[in-house]
Formats: sequence, C-alpha cells, structure tokens
Amino acid sequence: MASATSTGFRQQWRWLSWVLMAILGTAALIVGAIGDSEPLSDGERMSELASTIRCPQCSGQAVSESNVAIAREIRADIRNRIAAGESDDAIRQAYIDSYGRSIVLTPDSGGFTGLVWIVPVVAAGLAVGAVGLAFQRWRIEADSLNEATDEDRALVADLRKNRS
Amino acid sequence: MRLGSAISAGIVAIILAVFIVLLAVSDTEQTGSASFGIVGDVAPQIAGPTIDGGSYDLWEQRGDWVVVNFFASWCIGCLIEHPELVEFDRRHQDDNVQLVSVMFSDTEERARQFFEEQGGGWPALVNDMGSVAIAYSVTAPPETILIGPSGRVLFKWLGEVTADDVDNMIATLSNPVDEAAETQGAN
Repeated sequence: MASATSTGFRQQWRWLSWVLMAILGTAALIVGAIGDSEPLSDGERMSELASTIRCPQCSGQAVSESNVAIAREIRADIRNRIAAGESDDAIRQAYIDSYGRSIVLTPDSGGFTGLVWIVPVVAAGLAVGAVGLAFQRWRIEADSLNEATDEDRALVADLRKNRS
Repeated sequence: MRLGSAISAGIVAIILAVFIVLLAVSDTEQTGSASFGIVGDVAPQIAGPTIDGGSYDLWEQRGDWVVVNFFASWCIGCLIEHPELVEFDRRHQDDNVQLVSVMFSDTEERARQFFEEQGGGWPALVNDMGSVAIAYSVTAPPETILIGPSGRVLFKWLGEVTADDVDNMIATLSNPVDEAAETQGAN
C-alpha cells in the first residue's frame, strides 16, 4: 500500500518537473525575445547594421568584415544615416532599393523566406514530440515485458512439478 | 504501430503540401529576385561643387543625355578608360550630351591631381559622394551610367567604357527618344 502511494507520488512529481521545465524554458525564450534591453548606442547600431548588410563586391561577406572601397563607403553611409536620425529599417531599405534584396544578409521574416525562421522551430517541436512518443511506446513495451504471460506461468508450473 | 507510421506519414505529407503551396503562391518580387541596379528608375540627384570651383545639379540637366562616370585615382580601370572619356567629351562639345565625373572612395586632393594629370574639362564632383555612389548601386569603379533626356537611368556599364560604346548606346536608345523606348532599352 505504501509502495503504491510512493509510486503515485513519484509519477506526479515527474509530471510536475516536466511542466516546470516547460514553463521555465518558455519563459526564458519569451524574456530573451522581448525582454527589456538597453537602447543601443549609435556605434552599436552601426556595427549591428553593418553586420547585416552584404558587401556588394564580395561573396557573402558583411560590410563590417570587408575593407574594399564600397564596404567602407557603406559603413560611412550607415554612420551618416544614423546621425541623420534614420531608423534601422529605413537604412536597410535604402540599400535594398539600390542593390536589391540580396544586399541584406538576414532573411525576411515574412513570405516564403520567413519559413527559414519557422521551419526549425516546427521541426524541433515535432522532433521533441516524436521522441516523447517513442519514450512512451518503449515504456509501454517494457511494462508489458514485466508481466508474466500464460506461457511463463505454465513453464514455472512445469518446473515446480518436475522438482517435486 | 501501423497507426503511428500512418500518423508520421500524414505529418510529412502535410508539411510537404504546405511547402508546395507556399512555393506556388509565394510573391517572387518579395523573395528577392535581386532587382540589382537602378536601370529604369528616375536618376537620383547628383549635386555639389565641382573640381573647377563651379557647381553641378543633375536635375537641372533635364532634356539632355547625361553620362555619369564614377572614378577613383587609385583605380587602374579608370586610368585606362580616361582617354576615352576625353574623346567622348571632345565629340559632344556642341550637343545635348553631357559628361559628369563623380569621385568614388577617394580624396579630393588625389582626384584633383588625377584630372590635372589625365586631362578633362567636364564637371567632376570630388566632395564626399559615397551616398551618391550607393544610390547608383555602384560596387567598384569605373562604372558609367547613361541617363536619358527624361531623367531616367537607361543603361549601366560595369568596368571601362569607350567613347564608341556610349555613343552607340545613345544612338540605339534615341531612335525614337520617348519614354516607352527608353524603358524598353533599359537593361
């Protein structure tokens, strides 16, 4: 009786720990995504923008990493635009207008391109779900192995009979 | 077991179907067919003091053909190309075709020296013109832009041009000179 109570308590505690872990994980993601952060300085904004704008003369390199003339010009232009009070979106749009959308290294969050943000999250969710289902199935199979079948009982009965 | 497999197959099928539908209905404009360059657009403003102490304003040149050459004193291609620009300027002293040079990522002093050594009497803007070069989607000099009388960018050359290249293009696009022909020729 005491054992059954202990097992029930242990199962409840296990579920509670999973729920707590899920709540903590979700809270951490939310805080990380929308939590209050200090406003960036102009220099930090410049660095962040320069790291998301592709150098038009290089292959796959951000203007922050390149020292070719156009990368230097774009860095100077970003600095001027920030000083002139333009928003980050307006600055990115100015380069998109000149060089096309491929000038931005970070993919769009909307449209078909937005899938690059959504698919990993969905895939991770499906993977966690699949692992959970697999664990559950294995546990059921393991539990069923613990129960003696009629064949097991017959075998034991035969052995006892032979011994006596 | 069989039910589990069916559910997995169903999920995969749904994901594939969603992908296919999204591919079919996605806005290709938005997915970034990199509409590189500004050919066909209204030419961004180019204005400022010139090397000879005057001033220049592109928007006051409406009605003329304007050839904008982005150059730098450190650019070998610009050095090779310059005699062709001198020849082009000589050919168009008395018509409605203008040449203007815009310094790219260089110093005013070196650009002045470049013109003194290489010649050229057309307007050259040598102030900080980085934002203008970006507006014209310049990546590396020399690059040359042809602006039509309507004020639209009609053609862009990457690398060195010859006087004949530019004259031939103007001849091609100016017959007839109207908005439709200009837009058609813009590539």
